[in-house]
Amino acid sequence: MARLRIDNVEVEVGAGATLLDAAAKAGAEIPTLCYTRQTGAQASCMVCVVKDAGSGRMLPACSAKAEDGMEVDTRGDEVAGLRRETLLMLLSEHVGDCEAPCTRICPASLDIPGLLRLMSGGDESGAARVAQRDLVFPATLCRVCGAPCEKGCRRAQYDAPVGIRACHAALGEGMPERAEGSGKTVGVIGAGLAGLSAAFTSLLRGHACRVYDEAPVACSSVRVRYAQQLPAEILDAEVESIRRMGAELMLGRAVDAAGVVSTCDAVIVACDAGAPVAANVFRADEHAMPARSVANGKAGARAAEAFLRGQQDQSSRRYNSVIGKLRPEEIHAYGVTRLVDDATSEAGRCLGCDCRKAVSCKLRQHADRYGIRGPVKRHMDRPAIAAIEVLGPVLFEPGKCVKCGICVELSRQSGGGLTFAGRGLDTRVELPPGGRISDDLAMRCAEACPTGALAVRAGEERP
Amino acid sequence: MREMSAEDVIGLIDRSGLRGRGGAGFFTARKWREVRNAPGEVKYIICNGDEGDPGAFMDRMTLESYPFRVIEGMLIAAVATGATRGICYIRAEYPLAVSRVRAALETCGGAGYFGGRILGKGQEFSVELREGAGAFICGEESALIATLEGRRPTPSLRPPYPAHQGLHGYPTLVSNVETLAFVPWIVRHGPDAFAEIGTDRSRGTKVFALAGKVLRGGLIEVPMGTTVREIVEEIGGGVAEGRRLKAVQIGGPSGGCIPESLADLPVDYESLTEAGAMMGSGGFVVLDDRDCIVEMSRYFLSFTQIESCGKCTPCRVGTKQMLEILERLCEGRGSGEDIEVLERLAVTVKRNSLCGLGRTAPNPVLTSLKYFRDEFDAHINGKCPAKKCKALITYSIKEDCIGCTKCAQQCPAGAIGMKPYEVHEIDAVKCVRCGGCFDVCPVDAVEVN
Ligand SMILES: Cc1cc2nc3c(=O)[nH]c(=O)nc-3n(C[C@H](O)[C@H](O)[C@H](O)COP(=O)(O)O)c2cc1C
Ligand code: SF4
Ligand code: SF4
Repeated sequence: MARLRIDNVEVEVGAGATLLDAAAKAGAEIPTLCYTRQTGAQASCMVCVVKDAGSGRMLPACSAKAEDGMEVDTRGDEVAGLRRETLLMLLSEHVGDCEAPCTRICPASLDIPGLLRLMSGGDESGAARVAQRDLVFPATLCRVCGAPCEKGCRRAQYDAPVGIRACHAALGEGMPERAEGSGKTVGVIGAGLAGLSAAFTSLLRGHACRVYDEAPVACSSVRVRYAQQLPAEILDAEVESIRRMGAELMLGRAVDAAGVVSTCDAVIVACDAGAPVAANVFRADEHAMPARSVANGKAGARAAEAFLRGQQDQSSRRYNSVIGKLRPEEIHAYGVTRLVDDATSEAGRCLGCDCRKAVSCKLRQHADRYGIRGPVKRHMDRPAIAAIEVLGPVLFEPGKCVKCGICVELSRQSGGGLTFAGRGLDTRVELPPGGRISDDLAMRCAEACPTGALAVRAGEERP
Repeated sequence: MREMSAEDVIGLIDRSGLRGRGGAGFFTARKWREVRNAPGEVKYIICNGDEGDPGAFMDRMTLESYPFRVIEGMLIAAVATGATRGICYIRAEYPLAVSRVRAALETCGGAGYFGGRILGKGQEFSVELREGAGAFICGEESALIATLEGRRPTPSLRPPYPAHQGLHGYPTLVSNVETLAFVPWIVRHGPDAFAEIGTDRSRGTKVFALAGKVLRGGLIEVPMGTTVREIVEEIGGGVAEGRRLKAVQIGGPSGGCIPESLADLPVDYESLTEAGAMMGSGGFVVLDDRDCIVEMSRYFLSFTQIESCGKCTPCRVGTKQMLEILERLCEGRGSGEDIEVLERLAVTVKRNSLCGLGRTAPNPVLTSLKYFRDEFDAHINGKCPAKKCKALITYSIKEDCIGCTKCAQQCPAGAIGMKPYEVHEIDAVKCVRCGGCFDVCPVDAVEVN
């Protein structure tokens, strides 16, 4: 039994308890990467560092034992600074993309690899729902967008970029599900692409929504600008589906901005008109580039959503790890296990450059928590790209491994599987020559791996 | 010894003030007592002869020349701690030490020193020899134990210390060769004879591997508390004629660099640690004004970086980042923020690494930054004040040249045309900056800038 103070909170823990256990009892949340209950402490990532005030020593909370009379600091500036620096080191070593380059380029951040995987798997309506969710006006955009995404497509380095725009243009209609009603109402001033995207996104999140505009028809400026490429019925149908989803369109009437602000829980201003400044008023500017208008609308809705739920708007500012340019000698390794040469469909040509664990990855979560904005300066040469390995149902992407040792320990407990090889900066996880790993063990390793290094091939995390 | 109890032996070592010579300087008697009091039906003594530090070879010398001292030390430690099994863990790259210790162990076994009744007591003890696993980290006690258990040589967090939970989970005394070799001397001559030498907290003598820019190098044994200047000047014979003492790097690659201005520092555990260096393995490298501090930091760090076991993040990644920054500085590719970043990385590696390797690896860089920051700044501005970093210097020949052609014959790159009796010239593009011409010119006409 030990009695100690964690951030000045007194706690009592049983014999053998670690500082991590004691902190949990004191309600202090300590970030970890290399710790799981089943594998115990590896003491490798050093992200869980805390300060023992008595000795002044920095200790990994996962393995340091709680001792009687200890005074432990888990969140002072020095501790937070060391965690941040240590995370920066892991990110400097990290060779992986959180988001695919095409998605990063797409102004509306369409989850392109996710959509293409659904398509090539035959789930056309699922793919259509993704397009609708991310693009709001998929049919409109595929006629008016210059497809910058295709310029970033890595497949171009092997043969030709994936025809991303043509793929999503071929999709039919698909409506994502609305979240449960929140009882809140969002008012949107301006019924252009930005305003309606804000409205649609707010509806999806479960809010009621009213859209106000003086003009009698929605999206009038796009209609004029793209009269050539964009048949009116296409845009009308997309506006109609937003209305059908529940948007109340109040068009062709003078807008009383102050009145809207006082009657709605949150207001998104999506027109040039000056709007009252208030805590519940957000902006979503129209942009000359239609896809950017959509992006602005979604961002405005996210900000309003965060306000309504009393949370911080994180989603739009997540840390993004990027590999950067492939060196000529790396192109083979990058693609060797991703290329599907006999792809039967265009969508099947996608290399899947995104991360299967973009949401659950603890490294990315901690980077966000410690205010790291990517991409980080590595201060050293980027480690070379190593080919993805296929372990049955699981993909192993060595560049994303943080050498935490969890999968190695799980393998040891199961009597074989993954091991460490090499040392220093060349430490790597591998299946030893002639070694095997069962599907079950591979799945458990993927589940426990804190990053996207081991991920279930069929896994999709983006909501 | 035959009359002494375990407590007597520990008390004796306690009074002598002996501290571990393996680096950290932990009080030996305290460690012995910990092992003695730790419960366990089996207890081990490991003699740490892994000596992985480049340039240090005192343990090798002891093992090769005086193996019996070490074995005797282990026997005495066995009585004191109640240990039943001993292991001599010797670096595999020391084949002579291995064969001499093996022979000595056989001799001792044959003479009945091991077995069921060592030193006339009812205690069992025997010693086996094991060869090191070939990496610097294997000298760190928890990694050393891992290799003995057949695991990868990676350290684990201490506590638990080996004294409580060591080899196969049993209480284990890990002691350095030099420490153990002192023990029979102390028993024979009494603790006071030992304690009389040295300073208040650092008793006895210490062996250093004196090297670098001194006239006489080699292994030296000095009383603790001898000053840096005394070692350099009186024992080493000072730096070469016309050169100036600049600094000494004490403690090997994990130690720190002490500037000439602190040369009156007494060499003992506390003073060294306070100055940012450490006793370490006893490396003692003397630098003169032609040594570049940035290049020396790079050199020492290149060793620890290669030897990082790779287990924990700060040491695995941080040492590599630091090394690349230092390489850039030496190659004249440094940028404005490099020094600040280097310092931040160094602090993180020092504070947040798991084991002693990472926690000490930044010492040369941090002490160099502390005492010679202007040299780092100069490198950012494209200048190497010691005129050592090749990318930052040019060689040229002054009018004083007598046209002897020695430089032209010396130059391996053909950068100097043979022009007897004329003033020679160096082709800066071909020049590889080896300094050969500088060294052979009989009239000092070659200039470095
Ligand atoms: C990276 C590293 C390398 C080490 N190498 C050695 C070594 O070669 N020999 C040694 O005696 N101690 C070495 N040590 C120190 C040991 O961990 C341990 O503290 C020492 O053997 C204890 O002996 P002592 O009490 O006699 O000093 C090393 C420590 C570290 C962190
Ligand atoms: S692959 Fe293994 S060692 Fe690497 S991060 Fe995942 S669980 Fe950790
Ligand atoms: S500090 Fe370096 S040598 Fe020690 S555990 Fe960490 S990586 Fe390994």
